[in-house]
Amino acid sequence: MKVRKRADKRTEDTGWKITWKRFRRHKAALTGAVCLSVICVLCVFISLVRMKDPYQIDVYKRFVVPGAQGFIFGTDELGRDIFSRVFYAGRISLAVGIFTALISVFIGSTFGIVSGYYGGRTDSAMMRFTDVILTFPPTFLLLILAAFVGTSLLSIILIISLTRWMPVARIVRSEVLSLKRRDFVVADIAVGCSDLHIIFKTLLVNVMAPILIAMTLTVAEAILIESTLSYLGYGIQPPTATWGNMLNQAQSYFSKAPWLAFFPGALITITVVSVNFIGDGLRDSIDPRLRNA
Amino acid sequence: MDNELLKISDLKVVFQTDEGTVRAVDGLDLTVNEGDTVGVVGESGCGKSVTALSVMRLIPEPPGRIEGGSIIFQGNDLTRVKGSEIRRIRGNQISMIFQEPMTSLNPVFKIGTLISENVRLHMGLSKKDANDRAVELLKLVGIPSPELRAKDYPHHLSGGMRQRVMIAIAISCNPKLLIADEPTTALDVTVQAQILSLIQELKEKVGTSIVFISHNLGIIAEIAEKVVVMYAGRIMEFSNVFDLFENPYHPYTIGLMKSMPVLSNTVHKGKELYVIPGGVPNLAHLPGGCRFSDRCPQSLPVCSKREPSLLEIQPHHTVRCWLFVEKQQRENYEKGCLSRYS
Amino acid sequence: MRRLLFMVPILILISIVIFFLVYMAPGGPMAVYATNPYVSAEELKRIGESLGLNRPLPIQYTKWFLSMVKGDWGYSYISGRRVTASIWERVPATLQLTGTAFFFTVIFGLPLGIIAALRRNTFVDYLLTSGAVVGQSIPVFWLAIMVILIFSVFLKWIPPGGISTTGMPTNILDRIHHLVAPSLVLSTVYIAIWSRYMRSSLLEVLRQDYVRAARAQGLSEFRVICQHALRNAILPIINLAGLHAPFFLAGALVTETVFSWPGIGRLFFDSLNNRDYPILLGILFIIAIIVLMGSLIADVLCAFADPRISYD
Repeated sequence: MKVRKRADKRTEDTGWKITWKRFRRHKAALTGAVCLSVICVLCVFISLVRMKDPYQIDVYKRFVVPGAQGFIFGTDELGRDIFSRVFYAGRISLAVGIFTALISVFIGSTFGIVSGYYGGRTDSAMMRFTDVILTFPPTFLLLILAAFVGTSLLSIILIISLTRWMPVARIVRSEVLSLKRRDFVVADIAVGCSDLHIIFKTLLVNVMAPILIAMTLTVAEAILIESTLSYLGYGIQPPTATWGNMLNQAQSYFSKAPWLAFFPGALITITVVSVNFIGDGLRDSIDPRLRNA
Repeated sequence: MDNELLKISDLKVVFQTDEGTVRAVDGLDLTVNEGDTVGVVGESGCGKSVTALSVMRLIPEPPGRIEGGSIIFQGNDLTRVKGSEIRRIRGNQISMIFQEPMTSLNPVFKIGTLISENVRLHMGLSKKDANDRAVELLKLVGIPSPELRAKDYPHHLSGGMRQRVMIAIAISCNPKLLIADEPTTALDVTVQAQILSLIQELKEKVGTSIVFISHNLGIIAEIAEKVVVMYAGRIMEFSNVFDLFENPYHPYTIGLMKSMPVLSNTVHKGKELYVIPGGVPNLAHLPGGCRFSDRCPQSLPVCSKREPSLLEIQPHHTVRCWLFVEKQQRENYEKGCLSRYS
Repeated sequence: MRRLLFMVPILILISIVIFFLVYMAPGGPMAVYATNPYVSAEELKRIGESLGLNRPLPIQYTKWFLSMVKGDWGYSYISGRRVTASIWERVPATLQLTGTAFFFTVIFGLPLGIIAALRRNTFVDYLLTSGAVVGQSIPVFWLAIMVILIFSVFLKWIPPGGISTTGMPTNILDRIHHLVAPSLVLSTVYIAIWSRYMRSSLLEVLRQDYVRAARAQGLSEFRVICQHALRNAILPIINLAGLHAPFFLAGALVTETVFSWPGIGRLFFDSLNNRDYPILLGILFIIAIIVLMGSLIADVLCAFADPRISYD
């Protein structure tokens, strides 16, 4: 009796290759990725791209309309080039976004892993705590914290992280809970692996995917929160430009120079939209079932 | 002369997936006469559920589509009737019960409401009459204290009870045809037996014909009068239940029967349980020729090149297999096949 | 019932956090006076004593908590008025704003989500989903600024802010005129979030076996969706509403600030700028209560709507 081997048309890709293939097909995510890359590149290399100094004050060139005199985005009330300022500001906002995401993912994962792994009363207590902070409107908390802890870059990053680790904790915890019951973990426990070993080897690897998704979404939120705080005056202080405080200063010149209010905000929106699209694309690529498609 | 109730001819159902077009059902012919109990057996993915869903046009339209063929019921082609007509038939003249009783009942409605809704929809009864009928039906399917149970929610009932409720909903309007898609697969063995006998009992009382789908040959043996064996979207063998079990012809059918564990201390002694080697083919990339050929222990060269048609080798016993075609004819087919491609 | 009892210790916990946050601030409650060069050191000490600030912290906290519970929320540092009065007079304005925003969220967010779910993977769906992403990504304050810029400064269709035109007697039309822009801006984010939630919830429900069973009974598609599917799909939305309650009721801070809306959020911001701690504490206390009540009410509502949940 011959059993002929069926030629399998599908190549056995690794998990990440399949993810990348699916990601490529997700138009919105691609657009987001492209936009974000452009913005990042501009932000990082702005000093090489533009010759104009973002801090240079030139009272003869105040309120230049966008497009005129070589100022792509115009100038502000002190004659500073908006285009350069906007992308210098972008560095700050992106940095805040990324570092906040990293820190809150760290805090959140630890929390979630501990809570999910040990279960029982520890778990319920931790989760209740998480829930309460989660439902507290972050704006109020952050304003108080910023007013009193200070508004340096580091403190802003820290306090935003303090309010954004919860979603990550929940995601991680639910992954851990479901993985805990899976056979391969039970097998590890039966064989007598230490807790730490189980945590790092098996759980972390599987939890990586949702964490990555949570991270991208946290970056988006962090950028929004930082700009809100800066706009209200409790974030990064001038003269360091950040998108939020540029908008704050733009308010006084509404009728004179409306473009001052437009560009920083537009950039926030584009950046956050791009990050969100990337996050969505990641989520759909890593697990299409999550999309209900 | 038996009355034809349902006649499926050359049914083709396809699904558009990321990997291509999946031909879930590819040219299926099946006739159900009045009073029949037809069993449809096959592995998961062979198209039995898809066939059942197509009869009631419940195939989800975006990925799926009835590509061709006809389903004649009481003189109408169900694949072509208007939406309002098919809705009139569903739950009314043709009913279906599903595999998962745990999730097939809407959790936010009371049991009584679920049943009476069906009755009011098709028979136009008043609220009170419908509720009375619901209680009646619950009694009929063997649920104790039906008046009280009617006010319960689905999550208050066990799996077996929920399945009974599903059956109650299905027979509420005295359908001519009941399609049961693996109704006992998700239940315990003891409950299985109860549900099976309930179905048979109801068939006598209500007079419906039944199409019973299962992958379990034992259940088919018990309940079916005629049996259809499906594989990869095609019928491989069709016969009445006694002939099939006594004299299976198709290698797939034989394989299925061999892999049934038997309670005996001699049959399997010292041997591994028989398993049909290989797996169900990827319906998006079907091999040419007979679909079972790559797993078939008796495959011939022609099997992988051309698909055989259904042949009636005995009265009312048809098989789709080259083994039962005259050697000369086989060679002709082979040659015919070659000449087409040379 | 048990939930209510649980809430008390949580409330205490939150209030401790709030209290310490505010009082531990550099400068402390005395900052307002300490930075004033006209206040001598002696006067500083005297004021501190009268405010009870030289007692150990746990005592200060207990005193504060008890008086909060009794209803005595102290007096504003700036205006000298009772905190409760100052906050209370702002409540109607905020409620008008957030109530209207909530209304918009429900009547726009839910139907858009339903449409997106029913037209899944079509152009309409992509449009709505992308729109929702954009809606969630726009900074609220920038949207407010842009709306004011375009519709008020340039087109002069709506007033630039405030709750009513000064000098005019109370007039419904005038109030609506002022209400439209802020409430729409505030609701934008929530419309985006709710529509996505509704979409995914409905899609999840439509996949369920009981929906297929309902179709198999011969119910019209309309009835299947409206009666069978939505009844189930709406449950997570109720949960969401409870979660968003504190945001709706108090989190309109940014919107109120940009539109000069005299509500609680704006009061918080102004008090923050002025270091008016009693008011800050009062508002935070209220928010804490709303947070707890919000989730409690959401749970109760869910228990009503979903027969699978039993409430004790």
